[in-house]
Amino acid sequence: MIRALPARLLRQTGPVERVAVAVLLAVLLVGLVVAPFTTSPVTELRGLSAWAPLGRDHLGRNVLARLVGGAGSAAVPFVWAWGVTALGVVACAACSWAGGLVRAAFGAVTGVLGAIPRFVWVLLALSVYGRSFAVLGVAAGLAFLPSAAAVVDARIAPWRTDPSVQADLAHGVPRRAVLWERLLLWECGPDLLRQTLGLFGFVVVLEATLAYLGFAVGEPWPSWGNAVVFDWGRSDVTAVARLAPLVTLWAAAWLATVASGPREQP
Amino acid sequence: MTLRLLAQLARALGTVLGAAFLLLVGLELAPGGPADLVADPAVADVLSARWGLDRPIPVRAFDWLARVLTGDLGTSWAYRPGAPVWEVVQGPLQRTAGLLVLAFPVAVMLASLPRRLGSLVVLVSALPVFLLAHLVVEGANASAWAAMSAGWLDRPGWFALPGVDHPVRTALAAVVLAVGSNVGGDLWTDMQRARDALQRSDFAAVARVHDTPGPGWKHAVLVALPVLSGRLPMVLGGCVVLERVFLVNGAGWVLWEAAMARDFELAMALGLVAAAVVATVTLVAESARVLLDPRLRELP
Amino acid sequence: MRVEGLAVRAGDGALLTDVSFQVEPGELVALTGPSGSGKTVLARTLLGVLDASPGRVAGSVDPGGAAWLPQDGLRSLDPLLRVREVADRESLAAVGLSEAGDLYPHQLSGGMAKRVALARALSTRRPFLVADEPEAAVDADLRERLHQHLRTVADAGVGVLWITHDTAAARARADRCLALRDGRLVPFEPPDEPGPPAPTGSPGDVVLAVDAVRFAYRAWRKTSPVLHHAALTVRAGERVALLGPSGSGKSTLAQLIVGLRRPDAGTVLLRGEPPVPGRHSQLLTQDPRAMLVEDLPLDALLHRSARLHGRPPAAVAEALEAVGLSHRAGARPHELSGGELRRAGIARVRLARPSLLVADEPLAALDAPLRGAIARVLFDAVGPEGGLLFITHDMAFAERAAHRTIRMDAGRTA
Repeated sequence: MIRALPARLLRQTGPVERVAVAVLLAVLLVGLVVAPFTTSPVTELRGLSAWAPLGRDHLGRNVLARLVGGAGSAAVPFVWAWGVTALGVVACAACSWAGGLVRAAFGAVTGVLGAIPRFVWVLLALSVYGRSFAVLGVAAGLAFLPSAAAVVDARIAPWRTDPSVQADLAHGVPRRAVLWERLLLWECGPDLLRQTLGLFGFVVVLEATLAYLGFAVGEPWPSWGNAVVFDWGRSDVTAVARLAPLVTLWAAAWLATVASGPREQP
Repeated sequence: MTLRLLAQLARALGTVLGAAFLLLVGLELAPGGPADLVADPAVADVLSARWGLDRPIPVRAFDWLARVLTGDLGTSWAYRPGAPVWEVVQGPLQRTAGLLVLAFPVAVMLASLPRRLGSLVVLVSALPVFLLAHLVVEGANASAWAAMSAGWLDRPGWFALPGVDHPVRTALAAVVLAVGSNVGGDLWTDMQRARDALQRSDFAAVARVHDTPGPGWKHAVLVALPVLSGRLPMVLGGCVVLERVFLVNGAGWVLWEAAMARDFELAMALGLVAAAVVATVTLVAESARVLLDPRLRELP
Repeated sequence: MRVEGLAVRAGDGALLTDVSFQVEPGELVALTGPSGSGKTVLARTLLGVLDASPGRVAGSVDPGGAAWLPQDGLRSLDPLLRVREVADRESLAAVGLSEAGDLYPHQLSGGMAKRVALARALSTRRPFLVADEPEAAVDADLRERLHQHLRTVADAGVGVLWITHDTAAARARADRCLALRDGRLVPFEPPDEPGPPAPTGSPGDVVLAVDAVRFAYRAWRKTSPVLHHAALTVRAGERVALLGPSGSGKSTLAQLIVGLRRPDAGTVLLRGEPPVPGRHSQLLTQDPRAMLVEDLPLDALLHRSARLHGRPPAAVAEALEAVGLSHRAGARPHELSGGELRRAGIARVRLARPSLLVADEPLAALDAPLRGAIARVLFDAVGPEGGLLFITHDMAFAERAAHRTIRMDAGRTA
């Protein structure tokens, strides 16, 4: 069944989700593999500097190179956040399956996490534990957990008494196979993919917001957030160079939103 | 029904207490503390004992909670050294509350926009609050500049001056708050989906066939309450960003400053206030649903 | 009420083609046909509540002011209104629910909701009534009463279009019967239902022994006893029918027997040991769709079962052959009809070669003409060494097909 999972995800997703997944993978690839070699202000002009299809900013730096480097500051916190959320989702699935008090207790914890605004969580965490991508990612993952957990819980809790689950158990399928393989990966798989895209959008926007407000990646290091404002309103920089970071950020956020929205099952 | 309402109340209280506990534990788990600033370990131990820092975390968490519950939110260390937190946050909280009250009708209006505008709302709303606010500020400044150049306007800086409560500025801020970071798009999508489900329901179809009244205001309110109250945490988070860009001296502004200056008593108090606001609004919305919907009146 | 030359299309397929008929006031007209023949589409078109663009409907339809009794009674009631707000006192009295006026829909049972929906339709005082499968998902008693209500309504001068699966009841009660097949009206001729095979052979050793079993569902602050004293045995090669009204604890007993729950008191022994899910027993659920749910080809799903029960891959082809689905091996569950899904579910339990097969209403969700053939496949799946315990509402079927019948009432077997 696990081998058939990618085919199922492909069947269950529309063109927007597929594009969003492709963009996410591209950002991860660029952010984790290419960006580490461009993020330093000294080295960022190397390699990509000769070719500047998006123009240069008023300090003569390659805008494309800065966007590529900015992907790094989105990708690294995303990987942290995804890890934290994934652990939380696994715990949530186990609690929903257990039902009763265990499920209620987990629901109370996510309720508390969800009551404090996500942005406030992240801000406090960065302030207390120091500014780093790891702290940013872990805090973002915890802040995102309530919504991911709500989706998983709403799916798994009703399955406990579902005739198809009883049919599987009575057929002799082991409990762990029913819970982890069939319910979490198979049934929730498409939802988890959409939640992943939602988390990606959240982390990108969060990192850019903090960078814009001067609390995360600051100039001269590249981030999509500080690139948006760096050349804003300057007449000596081309319009493409000024708008490219803005459009990149907006498109990433929009794609993640549209692709992660819940939709009816076919 | 009374039991159900009491359960809601207990849930809200539990959420606030839980949030306070999480905040405190999060702070206490961080390495370093006030007493570590002293070089001599012996003196640090004495200071820890005097300030009560050597007690276990849960004890201190409940101690802090007890203080907070009696209305003592602590003292600001860095933002306004020595001032009681309550005094520091009073004015800013009022300003932020004003913004939220203004944003509410905008949100309701957004949620009821017709279907053909949906994709546009989602697209614009995908702009993060900081970017939308930035564009609005830049756009307003540019148009003010153009108006002054054309001689239609003679007061420069009517918009950009910090701390000025200009009605246009406040209105723009409220709109940005209700639209940006997907708040508007999610509101619209959720409401549209709920409305479609209501229209497609069997009882609405029967009402059409029988010419009897179909789903009415009660159904609409029941659908809208969780959608609107569910967006509140996002809006509160947006306040922090918005107030930074629009230079509004509200609670979000103070929270940001406190976080930058590591003024934890102040920052935690504001985090707790945010949780309390969310819990209260959720409590009100859920109680209203319990009053309106007979299905929710019985305990599960 | 008049329908002339009605045609409804959706996408490439025609849902209804050239349907014409009329219903006079005071007439009870039954419209029969198998699932998917277009009965509900016809009703919704007639009432003007079809979810389709107008261009796809051709022909003329005059409902003549019809009231509607929808198939799902509970969901058709506004959850925020009390019963007396949707139906007047007289109509409620007519369906025997005078006392229920102050209740809300969520406090009603499925059968009560259906009667309230009927009372609501009667309160409109309209000259016609469209009743969409009023007998769906109700037990035999209520089914009989609903049919009587329809007859009474027609005798009082209302023209009733009664959409139904139940050809026998239609022939007995209706003034006129229409039949719909593949979207066309065809002459009404009730099919000769091939009966289930009669029991053969003599039973062997005891496979299942249930003795003095008690069971209660426990939730916070609440205990709901379901089984008070259940006792039965099933022998190898024996078919035993378990009969009883809804809520008498039959399905709970089935779960105890296959090992999904443990009894509070008493013993359940399967081949002499306490039941372990999947070891000696298999369960066929009431809903055919619950047996196979993953979005995978049928043979892939069955290969998994074969691996789980240590059968060679060739057993899959053999099981598909035995249930008559060899030609559908590559289809996914959502592409199968109700009857095919039931066959596929039987293939799945067959692969486990159970000593005991517990079947919960195995034929209830199927159209009448299919039942005999699928009953044969079901009986064949157990083999001479296994026992079959089937739960059913259908007394005639049970008496014809089973070696023994056991009655159950309010958690006790008799």
